[in-house]
Amino acid sequence: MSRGIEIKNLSFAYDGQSILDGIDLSIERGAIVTMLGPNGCGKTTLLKTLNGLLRPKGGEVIVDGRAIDRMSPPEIARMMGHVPQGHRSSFPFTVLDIVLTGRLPHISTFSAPGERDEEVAKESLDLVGAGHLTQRPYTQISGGERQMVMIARALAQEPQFLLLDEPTSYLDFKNQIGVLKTVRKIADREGVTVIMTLHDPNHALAFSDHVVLLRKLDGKKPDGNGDGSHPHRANVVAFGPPFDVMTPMNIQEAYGMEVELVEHNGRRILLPL
Amino acid sequence: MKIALYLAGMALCLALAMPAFGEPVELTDNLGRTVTIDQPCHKIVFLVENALNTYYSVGDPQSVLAVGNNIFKSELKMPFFEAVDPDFGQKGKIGFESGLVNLEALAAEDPDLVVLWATSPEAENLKAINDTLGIPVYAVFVTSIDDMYKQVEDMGIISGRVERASDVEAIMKGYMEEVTSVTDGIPDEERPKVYWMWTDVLGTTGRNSGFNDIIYQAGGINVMNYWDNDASYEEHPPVPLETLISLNPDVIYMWYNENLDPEDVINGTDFAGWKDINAVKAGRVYEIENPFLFDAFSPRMPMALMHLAKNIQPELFADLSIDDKLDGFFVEMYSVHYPEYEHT
Amino acid sequence: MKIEYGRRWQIAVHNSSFNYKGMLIGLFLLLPIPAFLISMMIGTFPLTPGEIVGLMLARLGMDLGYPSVYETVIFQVRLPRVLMAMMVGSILSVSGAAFQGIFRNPLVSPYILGLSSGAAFGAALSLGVIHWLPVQISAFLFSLIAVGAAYFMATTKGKTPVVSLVLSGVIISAVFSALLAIVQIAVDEKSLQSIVFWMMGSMNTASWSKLESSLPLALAGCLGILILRWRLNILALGDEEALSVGMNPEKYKAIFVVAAALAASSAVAVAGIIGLVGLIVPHMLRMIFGPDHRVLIPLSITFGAAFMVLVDDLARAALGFEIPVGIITTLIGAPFFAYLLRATRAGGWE
Ligand SMILES: Nc1ncnc2c1ncn2[C@@H]1O[C@H](COP(=O)(O)OP(=O)(O)OP(=O)(O)O)[C@@H](O)[C@H]1O
Ligand SMILES: [Mg+2]
Repeated sequence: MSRGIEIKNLSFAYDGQSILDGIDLSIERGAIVTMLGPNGCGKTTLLKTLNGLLRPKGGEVIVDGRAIDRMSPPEIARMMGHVPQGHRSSFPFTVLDIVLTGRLPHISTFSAPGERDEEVAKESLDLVGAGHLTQRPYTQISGGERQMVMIARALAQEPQFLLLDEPTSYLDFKNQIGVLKTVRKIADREGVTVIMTLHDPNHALAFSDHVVLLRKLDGKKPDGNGDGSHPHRANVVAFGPPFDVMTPMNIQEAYGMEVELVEHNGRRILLPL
Repeated sequence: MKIALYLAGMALCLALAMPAFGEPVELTDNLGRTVTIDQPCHKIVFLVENALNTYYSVGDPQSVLAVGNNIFKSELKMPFFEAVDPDFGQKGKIGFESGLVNLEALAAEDPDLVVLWATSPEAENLKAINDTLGIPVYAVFVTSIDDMYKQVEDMGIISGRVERASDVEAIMKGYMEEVTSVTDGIPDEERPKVYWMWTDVLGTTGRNSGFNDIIYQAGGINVMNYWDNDASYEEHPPVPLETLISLNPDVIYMWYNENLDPEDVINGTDFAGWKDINAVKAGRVYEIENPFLFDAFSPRMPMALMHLAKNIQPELFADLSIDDKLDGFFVEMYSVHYPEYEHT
Repeated sequence: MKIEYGRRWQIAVHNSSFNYKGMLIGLFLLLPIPAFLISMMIGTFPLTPGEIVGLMLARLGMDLGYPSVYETVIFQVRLPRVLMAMMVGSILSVSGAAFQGIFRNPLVSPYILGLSSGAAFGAALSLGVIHWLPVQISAFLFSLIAVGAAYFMATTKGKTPVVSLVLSGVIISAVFSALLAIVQIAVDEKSLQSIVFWMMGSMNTASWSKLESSLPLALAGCLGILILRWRLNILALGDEEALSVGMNPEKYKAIFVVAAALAASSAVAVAGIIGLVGLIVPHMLRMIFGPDHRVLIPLSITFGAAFMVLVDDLARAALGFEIPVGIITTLIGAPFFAYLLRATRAGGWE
């Protein structure tokens, strides 16, 4: 039994419109995998098929040797934490109350969180460096703090996998790096496998073990009815270590734009032309 | 001197003759408004049922142009109306929406006078018809027995049949006296206390109301007269159940109620709290069973009074049979027999 | 979009020792007891507190020779009315809190899905047209029909987005208001008066039989919400956030709507449409204790009961004549609601 996530020939469509097609990925345990690609290429969609929130049209997702569509939502939630893109609350719940909701998959239907759950929630907050926020109303903390709290909430699920959808969006320069460093820390110390989507290629270069570079499907049906001169193009442009994937050629392929790779003090930076 | 007398005599004759020529006449409605009409009116719209009933006992049915479609339990009354007014079925029916009269339909009838129910001169329908359409409006607001007699007189003026109106008044008073001559002298302390139950159950008829008078003439006394609260003077006050229990009426009289019967008040589980009220203990809960026949605010008021009197003072009126009275009453009032409504 | 109201209070509660907050919660949980005792002493039938205590003792077998009417007033009139007011207050508050959680908006009421319009139509139908149909049953059935229709209308492909629910609630309310208007046009003046009186909401026809008939479903609904209350916290965060921790938001939305609607319908069926209680009570509690439903729901039950029974004391005894209690709650509630609307900018709805 292989540990990690196997994605086999995955395809997905919204109302008949193909979004994902022919995706084959193998994600090993303990790594940070970043998904990168233009708006609307299907990053969020792919993330949601990983934890069963969306049902693929074809192919399958296998987590630690088990098909995801054979698992119940609480089972999945115990294994995978998920931080959706951007969140707000109309109620001034305390940060602790919010993080406690991450304990749901560990709590039986007719009970509420107990002491142990509260401990886990507090530990998760400490882990993301938000221990001081415990009793603050969620509506009154900054966007960066909110992102940390939502990550803590996912960690309170005690997952082996953490799915983060654009954890750096809406954050300032410093907070972006702060969140990514925290993510790195979680992956290293807790051995949690992180799969996240990002928009900044340099962040992907600096903080990931593997990068999945995606592009938009060209709209042609997978089986195609053309003359064969355009072979079917799947979403994944490249998958592998960051330096192998983030080449100007691949970026051109995914985004349709020219970039150059600059080396500075042994670090590589992608710059648009 | 002689000339002066002669002139005065002339003036009097003219004044008496004027109505016959369709001259303008002033009359005061129940709200104290002055209404100027041409006498007799030939195109009248009745948006209130009780005045319509009164009118039919006095005036020319041909002059009724249209009526409101707000007649309570109209299916019960159709045979009667068709008997006293052969064209009743063809007459215009003016609709209401959320209590507001359909002004266009009303204007289309082009009446000389509209008679409607209004509790204040500011009432919306009254103002709309009077001010907007510019049609004279006679407002009906009956809160006492005397208001009923005044209504008969006013229908006489409107229809130009003043004499017939005084006859009708006399007929009504005659029947009323059959009851009041018996009940007049009864001291208040000896009168059974009567709780009047409108359909909202804990809503009753206050001290300033027509039913207050009728209950008194029937030989009882409205229990509201023993309630020391300003609300007791209202036309339709709501009474807390605990207050009602402490007022302890001897008789409960229900207005016609399709959701409730006297039996429910006496034994119903929803009325468990009423069980120590004298009226309930003695089983003296009555209902106006026929809202047409015993409509107290119509010219049939004497029949309603007899109905109440028989129940409130059963010993005093043991020999009174309403059934025997009904036919004669209808003949005198409407020239039709009861209950078949054949013309005499 | 921040909600600043009651912040000072909350800080005061949070910053002090846990025991202080616990004590305050305890106090609020016990509020119905003094409210009950006070209410039992109040009424337009003249009885002294001594006599009332004596009557209670008489119930325990001691015969103090009071006239039987005393016992009737206390046990057949006042007690059922006080209990009914408490039950209705609890139900409206709990269902209000639940609907607010489901809709993620602190300004919605239990009537948002057309429950009150349906009930009003049902009551009018019974009072004005189909006389053999008891008002309570008709109001109850039509309020559930309205909520069911709104829910069904808002559901597509197994999903019931909150925004669709709000809109379908508006439409269903409008439909039943139109049907009500038709009934009101068709009926006579006396029936119309009864309908209007019913709609204003009142407890003046409280009785044991009404209490007994509405209690089972009311209890079931409230109990369901009470047991599952923590899950409202999750639902209140949003569908995505619920899904991401393995909760099926559609299932729980349906469960809470059914529970809250059952309870609220049985309350409305016996008491008419009592406005704004379901909004004010959870709100006051949120201002003091914060939005955590684990605390909010039990406190809504107790504080709602105490609040309603005291307001009903005003309705039945303040002026010596009966004021429809719905009028009082609306008069108290409307300025409060206006204040909240401004202070919270429409409840922070996005
Ligand atoms: N619920 C939906 N119904 C129909 N189409 C959808 C739905 N959600 C997303 N899409 C479409 O699917 C495609 C992929 O969307 P997705 O959200 O996965 O993109 P993304 O890569 O996450 O984009 P972004 O970088 O902007 O977050 C888009 O073209 C989008 O318009
Ligand atoms: Mg996305």
